[in-house]
This record gives sequence, structure tokens and C-alpha cells, in this order.
Amino acid sequence: VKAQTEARLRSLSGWGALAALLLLIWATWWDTPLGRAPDWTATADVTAPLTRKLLFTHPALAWSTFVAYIVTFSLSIAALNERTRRFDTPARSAAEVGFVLNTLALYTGTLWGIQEWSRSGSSALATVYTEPKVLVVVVMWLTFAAYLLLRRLVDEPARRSRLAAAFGILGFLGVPASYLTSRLLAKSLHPDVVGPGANPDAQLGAYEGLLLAWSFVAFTLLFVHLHLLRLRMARAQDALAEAAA
Amino acid sequence: MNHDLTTATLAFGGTAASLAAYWLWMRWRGPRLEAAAARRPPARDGPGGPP
Repeated sequence: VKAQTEARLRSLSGWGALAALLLLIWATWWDTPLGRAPDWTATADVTAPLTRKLLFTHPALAWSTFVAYIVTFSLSIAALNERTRRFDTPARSAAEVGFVLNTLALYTGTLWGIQEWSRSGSSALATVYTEPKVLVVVVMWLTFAAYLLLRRLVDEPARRSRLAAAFGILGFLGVPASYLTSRLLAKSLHPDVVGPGANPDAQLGAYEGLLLAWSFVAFTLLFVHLHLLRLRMARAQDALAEAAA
Repeated sequence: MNHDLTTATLAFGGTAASLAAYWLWMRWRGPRLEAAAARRPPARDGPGGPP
């Protein structure tokens, strides 16, 4: 029954994510009955109006990375508390999906940052990779890279699970740290458009705000779906490893 | 010089292609692993499986 429920959830979240993402793509590039497609071509200080449409992809990728790492964090604590595969396997799946989303958030952010933050006289890449929030996210990315590596390198299951949980908890610290850097550090180039301490200069129109919120919904659904797909694989891998032992 | 179109294409195209590839890989690999696991006898104290 549990497997059936999970299969149903997997399929449901898949169709939901697909519909939500298609709607998001439509609304990002074309007009919808609710509003006109966001267009910055006529805005005075915007040099890359097409790249700016990453506003509906990049923050959502970062958000779903955070969701994945929060799930990993909670399951890691549970796995340390109760040393069974029950929590260890889903923690590993969430961490891997989170790492993929994290990589894409860094990738889109790097391209966007190069376009919008480049100042004459300094290297665009250097500007992006000395920004506080980017640095925090890079450290978080490296911690989860280590997490996935030691999952492959440590053979003994109990030790592997303990070590991985420690890295999962450590890596998660990047989530609150990343949220706070742009709000607390004046040096930050990241504009805060949502939440307390949002930058009044980076205000969005109502429709753009709606699209941003929608992108968060779509990528959360995508995370749920990818996590369930990865979980199915991880469970089968566990069963095969157990049978081989 | 402005590379807006190139950047946007790389960013959106790269993201979509990566996510699609990851999804396809899991859709392809998951059922195969599941089938392989089902063919194996349980590790210990389990019922059934070939002798």
C-alpha cells in the first residue's frame, strides 16, 4: 500500500510539475489573460532584458535547493537518532536532487551576474564570485559535493550514514546563512525582493510578483517529483547492495 | 558588448536540458534497478528466492 501511494504521488507530482513549469514558461515569454509578459527592453538601466527573465527561474532554483537541503537536514537528524535506512535513504535522495538544483542555481546566477553586475575595470566573474551570498552558496555546494563523495567512498553502512548525516547538517547551515547575507551585509549585490528587509529599489509589479511566487510553486513541485524518482532508485540500490552483502 | 541573447539562451537552454536529462536518466534507470532488485533473493531470513 505504501509503495502504491508513493507511486501515485510520484506520478501526480510529475504531472503537476510539468503543468506548472509549462505555465511558467508561457507566462515568462508571452502574454496571458492575467497580464502582459514581463518586458524590460524599454527600462532605462537594464542592459540585458532577456537575461533578466531569469527572475522567474534563478530564485526558484535557489528556493528548491533550500527546500531539498532542509529535507536533508531534517532526515539527517532523524537518521542519527534512529540508525536505520528509513531516514538515511531519503536523506541521500534529497541531497542529490538538492545538489543538482544548487548547481543550476549557481549556473544561472553566474550568467545573470556576469550580465548585470559587471562593472568596467573589474572582471565580471570576480565580481560575481566575491559577492557574499554567492560565496556562502559555493561553500554549501562544496559541502554537499563532499556529502555525495563520501556516500560513494565509505563502505561500511553505519559509518557512511553517520558521516553523511553530519555533512548534511553542516551543509544545511548555508541555507539560513545565505538568506541572511544579502539582508545583513551592505556589500551584497543580491537585491532582496521578498521577505522582511526587502530592498525598496527592487520592487516588482503585482503580476511579476505573482509570477515569482508561481515559479516557487512550480520548482517545489519539481523537487518533490525528482526526489520521489530518486528515492525509488535509491531503495532498489539499497536492496541490491544488501543482497550482494 | 552585450551578449544578452546568448546568455539567456545558455541559461534557459542549459537549465532545461540538464533537468530533462536528469529526469530521463531516473525514469530509465529506476524501473531497471527495481526489476533487478526484485530478481535477487532477500538477504537473510526472508521468504522465497531460489536456493
